[in-house]
Formats: sequence, C-alpha cells, structure tokens
Amino acid sequence: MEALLQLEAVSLAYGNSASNRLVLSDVTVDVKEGEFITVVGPSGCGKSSTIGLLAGLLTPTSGTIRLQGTPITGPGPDRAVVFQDYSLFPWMTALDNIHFALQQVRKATREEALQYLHLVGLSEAKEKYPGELSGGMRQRVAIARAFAVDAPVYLMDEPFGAVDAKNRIYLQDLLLRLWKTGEHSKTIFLVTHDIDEALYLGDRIIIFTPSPGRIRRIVEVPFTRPRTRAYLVHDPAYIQLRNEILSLLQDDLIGELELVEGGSGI
Amino acid sequence: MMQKTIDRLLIFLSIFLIWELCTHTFSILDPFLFPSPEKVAQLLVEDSEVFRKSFTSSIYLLTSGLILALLTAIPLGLLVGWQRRLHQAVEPLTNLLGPIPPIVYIPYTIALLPTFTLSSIFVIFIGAFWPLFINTVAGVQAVEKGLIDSARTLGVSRWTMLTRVLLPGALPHILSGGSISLVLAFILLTAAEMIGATSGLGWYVKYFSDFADYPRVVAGILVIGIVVLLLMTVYRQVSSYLLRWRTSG
Repeated sequence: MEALLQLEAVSLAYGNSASNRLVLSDVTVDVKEGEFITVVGPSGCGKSSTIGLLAGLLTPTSGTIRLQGTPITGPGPDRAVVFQDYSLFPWMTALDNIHFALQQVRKATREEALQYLHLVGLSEAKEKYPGELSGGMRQRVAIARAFAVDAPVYLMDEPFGAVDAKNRIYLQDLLLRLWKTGEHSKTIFLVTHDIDEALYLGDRIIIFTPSPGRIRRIVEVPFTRPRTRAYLVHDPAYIQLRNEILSLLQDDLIGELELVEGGSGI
Repeated sequence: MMQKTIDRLLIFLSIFLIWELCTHTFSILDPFLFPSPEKVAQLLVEDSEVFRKSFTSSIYLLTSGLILALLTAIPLGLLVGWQRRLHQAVEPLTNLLGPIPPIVYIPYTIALLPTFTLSSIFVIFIGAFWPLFINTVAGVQAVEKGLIDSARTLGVSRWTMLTRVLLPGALPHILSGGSISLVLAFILLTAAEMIGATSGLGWYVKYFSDFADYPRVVAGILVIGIVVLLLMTVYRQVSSYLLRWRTSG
C-alpha cells in the first residue's frame, strides 16, 4: 500500500543565502494511513519545524512532502493542527472556536459544534473564553476542534507540553480514543519531548538528532493495543526500549557538548 | 470601596465650599469674572434648552467625523498592518502626515469646503483618523504569530482572516487608539465651533465670552466637562464589553 504521507529528502534552512541556519537535513520517512507516529528529539532539533512543514506553514528548502501523492503547497483542511499554545482564538468562546473551525470546511450549526465539545467532556464550558479555562481544558477544546474538522491527518506539536501530569494522562487516553472513533481512519503525527508519551501513544517513534535535525532512528513500538500504563512500566521490554531511546538521545547530547568544548579549545 | 467614595465626595465638597466662600459668602473674587455656584446652577437650568440644542448639534458633528474615521482608519489599518509591502510603502507618508496637529487644518478646510458643517466634520475626521489608523496597524502586527498560523491551518479565506482574526486580535490596540481619537475629536469639535459655528457647545462658550457674560462661560465649560466625562464613561463600558474575553480567570 502506498504511504499516505511521504517526506522525501526534506531539508529546511532559515534565513537568507548570506546567513542560513540548517534546521532539518535530509529527512525521509513514509507514514502509512492510520498510523500513529510520535517524534522525539532534543530541543531545537527541528521537531516543530517538521509540523510546520507538514501543515504547509513552512516550505522545504529542498525535497518534497506528499500527501496522498500530491505535494503539499500550503495549509489545507485535510490536515488538522494542534499547537502547544495559541491554537484557540482568545476572543471566541470554547464553542465558537469549534464552530468557527467547522464553518471553514462546511456549513455547520452550533449544535454540531457542541457535540464535539461534549466529546471531550466540556459541554458545560461552552460559553467560556479560553482565558477562563485551565491549560488542560484549553487543550481539550483544541483537540475537539481538530477532530471536529474530521481531517485524515492530525499534526500535533507538543500538545500536552504545558499540561500537568494528571491532565496529560487524561488527554493522552482521550486522544487514543478519538483516534480510533469515527468513520475514517486517522493518521496522527505527534511531536513530544516525553519518551513515555512517545512510547505509550506511538506505533513508531522517529528519533531526531540535535540541530540540524536528521532522523537518528525509527523505532517500531511492539506493544499491542490497548496499552495499559501500569502494565507497561513493569514490562522489561518496555524498560529496555525506553532506555535504548534515552541513551540514543543522551549520546547525541553528549556528542554535542563535546563538540562545543572542543571548539572552545578546552 | 466605601473609603474611596467618601474621599471623593470630600474633594468635591471642599472645592465647592472654597468656590462658595470665595464668591457668594465673602466676595473675595471679582463677581464679574467669578460667578457663584448658585448663579451657575441657575444658568444651567435657565439655559437648559440652549444646552440641549448645543449638545445635539455638537454630537452630530462629533459622531459624523468619528464614524467616518472608524469606517476608513480600521479597514485601511488592517490592510496596511497585514501587507508588509504596503506597510513599507506608506510608512513615510504616515510619519509625515500623522504628527501634523489637526487643528492647523481648520482655517484651510473652512476655505476649502462649502459649509462650516462639512469643514468641521472633515477636521474631526482627520484628527480621529491617525490615532485609529496607527493603532490598528500596530495592533495587527502585535497579533500572536501562533494565532495567525492556527487560522491558516484552518484554511480561512483572506476576508475571514481580516475580519475574524486580525480585527479582534488588534482590537485592544484599536480601542486604545480610539480613546485618543475621541478626546482629540472633542478638542477639534469645540475648537472648530469656537471659530465658525452658530450652534454647539464650543459656540456657546465663545459667543457669551464675546459679550463678557462670564457666568454663562463658566456654565458652558462645566457642561462640556460633563459631556466629555459621559462620553468617556460610555466608551470605557463599550471597550470593556468588547474586550470581555481578556479578563482571564
């Protein structure tokens, strides 16, 4: 089966020709339909830029990104995006945020929008503005908005990064539930700095090297679904895989540190 | 809360008392130039019909100029703030025209436009335009890039981007520009009325000072103060309603 999302030798550099900074270098990966991909890597490795590229907010300096065989040229309703912050418009109520997003793809009533708010257990907060909601609640609304649009692809840039541990667990399970509901199969591309989150959610984990970001390795997550947290953390295979990823990330960081030290002449 | 009210009342009372003592009670001040509170109060009642007419005439000029400014400055500001190239192109012009004190336009517009009404509306419009325009541009540029990205990922049209994202996003700046516009518009209104009007609050003060009727001048100034206070209060209420989403809990 052909891949849904194809990144082919994608590189991204910021700045002009005089001073450009390579952010991503030669990233090639195929994502299958219905797959849950998680991405981990040290900060500044271009994880977020990858989301920007897939969303069509950024254009690759070289290489191509294809969605269902067609190159991505800009943002589109076939990809829903959840950011760490700033997904929701602060001047619209929770309900209006979802309704507004729905209206961009089709004619929709506020009642329809309310269903999605209900899906994340926030129907009673429909008239609240994002500023009146907690960080966790805001992300629930943002996720509801993304799923309301019913796109085949979901791009999430550290969606639970600013949420406390308890809410994060709730949101992860909510996300898994939504991933498997609905008529169409959904493909998720989620960036995180939390290895446990990457392991718990992902079918495959893409591990990035420090800047410029390259794919260090792609790890298959062997655990069957539904996964149970309590069970996983005691599973030796889980612990081994987790340590393996951790040491990969640490090796890169140590490598980077030595490089800096060497450069300073110590 | 209670203390604040008492303090404020005390300030008002003492000023009133000093006024009363200096004029009516001990006649320290020249009664020709300084009318007593009783005299002013009596005139406020006596001339209430004139004040009502003056108010209507002034508000007509003020709102005409302000609405014109709203309808032009905000759409133009949204466009200029959004289009980087357009902004770079018009910036020198803004820097040149923006700081000109609008009051200097008064004699010229009176010569230029057929009626006094038109020229005052035009001057009020010019005065209100720049603060609104400059703040709208700044407001658009201050909208979080993340929110614009978020809107782009939803696939919004240009029109929706301008009206549903940039306009509300720039609203805090627009409203603070608007309060400057309102004050400036009122200054220009009264200035214009003192120069060439046959009605209005500014005209009232100027007209009676020509007759050395200073009690009426003081009454007129007091009325103008109250009108500005009322306008600003209404403006603040409207602003805080429009920005109700900003009150984070």
